[in-house]
Amino acid sequence: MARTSERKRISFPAAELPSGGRKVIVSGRREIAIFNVEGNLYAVKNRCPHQQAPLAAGAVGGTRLASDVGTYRDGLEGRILRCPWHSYEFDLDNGRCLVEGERFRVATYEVKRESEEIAVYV
Amino acid sequence: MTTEGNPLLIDVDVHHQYESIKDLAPYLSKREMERAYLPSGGGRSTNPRGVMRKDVITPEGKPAGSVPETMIEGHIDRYGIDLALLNPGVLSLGGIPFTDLAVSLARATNDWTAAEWLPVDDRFIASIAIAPQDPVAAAAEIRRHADNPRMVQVGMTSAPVLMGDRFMHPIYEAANELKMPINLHVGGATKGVNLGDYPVGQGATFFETHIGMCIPAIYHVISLVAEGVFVKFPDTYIVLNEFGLAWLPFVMWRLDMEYRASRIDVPWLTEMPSEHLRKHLRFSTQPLETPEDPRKLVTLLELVEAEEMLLFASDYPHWDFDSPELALKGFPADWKRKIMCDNAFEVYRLEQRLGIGRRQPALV
Repeated sequence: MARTSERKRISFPAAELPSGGRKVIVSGRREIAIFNVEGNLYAVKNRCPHQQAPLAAGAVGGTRLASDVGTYRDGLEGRILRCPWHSYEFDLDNGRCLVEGERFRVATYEVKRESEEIAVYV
Repeated sequence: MTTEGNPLLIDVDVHHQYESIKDLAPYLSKREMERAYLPSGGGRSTNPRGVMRKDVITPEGKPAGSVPETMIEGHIDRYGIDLALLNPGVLSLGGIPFTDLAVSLARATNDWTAAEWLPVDDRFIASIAIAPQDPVAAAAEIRRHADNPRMVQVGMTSAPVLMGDRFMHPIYEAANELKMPINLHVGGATKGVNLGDYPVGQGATFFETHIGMCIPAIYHVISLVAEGVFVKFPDTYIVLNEFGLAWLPFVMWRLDMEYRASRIDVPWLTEMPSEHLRKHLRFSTQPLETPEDPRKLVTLLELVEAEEMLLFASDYPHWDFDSPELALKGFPADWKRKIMCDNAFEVYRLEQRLGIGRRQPALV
């Protein structure tokens, strides 16, 4: 990852991304999808590594964790983004797909609230 | 360096959709409209996370696929598709228990396609929906569209019997006469009164049932070969739509193996079963069972010389949509040209039907 001084900072008013919302920003030729999940901010490249679907249109929620046969364990609430096309699941925290996580990994970006703005570092 | 232009991009599986069955009112009698319905059921083969792509947004929240302008902008124009073959989104038509209702809904669907979709964009071509419950009525419905060159295929989403069964032959006779392929699209086998995809149990998760949906195609291919459909109707093709295709080598090799031992049961075959299939069976490319190294899939298909058997399909606007830009990653360039253009020209006789060439004019 580039040193802080080499990264570009893109910001917008925090009011443009309330909790439960999503927003797409553009940096050069890159689109970045930003999610506000009950105050937790995540930013990923807006292209699914599988077939380039727009991840910003995907559902955000939880998933089922590994469990014993015939049992279910819900978890990772608010952490999982499902691709709007083939439903691949990505952990918003690190961009890894829940299946073959390294093969299908979406780029993540640092994003944080800075007083009245939300700033993304690309 | 070639002087010919770029090959056209043909998408053989795009789904147009009613907003609701009431859209058929102009094409049905009052009595027929009162009785019209499409069976629900088949829940086990319906994706619990949604059937449509989540990013297809239509005006006023209408169902994805029901607004031509959205489809044109979001898919046809977006990917530079030169011809889109519209398969109506009526998976349960073949499962309706009331035969005459199914026949009238098929007829009305075709009238709706011809009146409300084909005139909107020259790039639309379409399948003739039929109700296979009544093969004689289906044959008449096929012939009714003989003079519309943009109706290029017969389409059904389930078969009430194995597809080779002589019950179905009137359909093939009409298609053969018009030199038109017959398309079986996945998805109707679990709807209405149809028997389902598996003879042994139904599966407990969508993960299983979605795979299971391709199994009936294997039964149908074996039946079509055994009953001599490809001998009796040499001017038609069977197009299997959305059943996958990586199982093809198994079926071809196994059929040939059985033929060596039991030819006496099928004395009407004129060549090896795999040859009949190579000549008359076609597959849409969606979904592709692509392994991590996509060249392995190409190798598998090379083993049975299948490069002319594949037709590119996106399945827009369904969730398992394949992007025209990426679906054939790993395929050699000459395969891509055939799969995205030339094979469709052969199967649908596009030059003869539409008077178009298969290459765009070369830039001077």
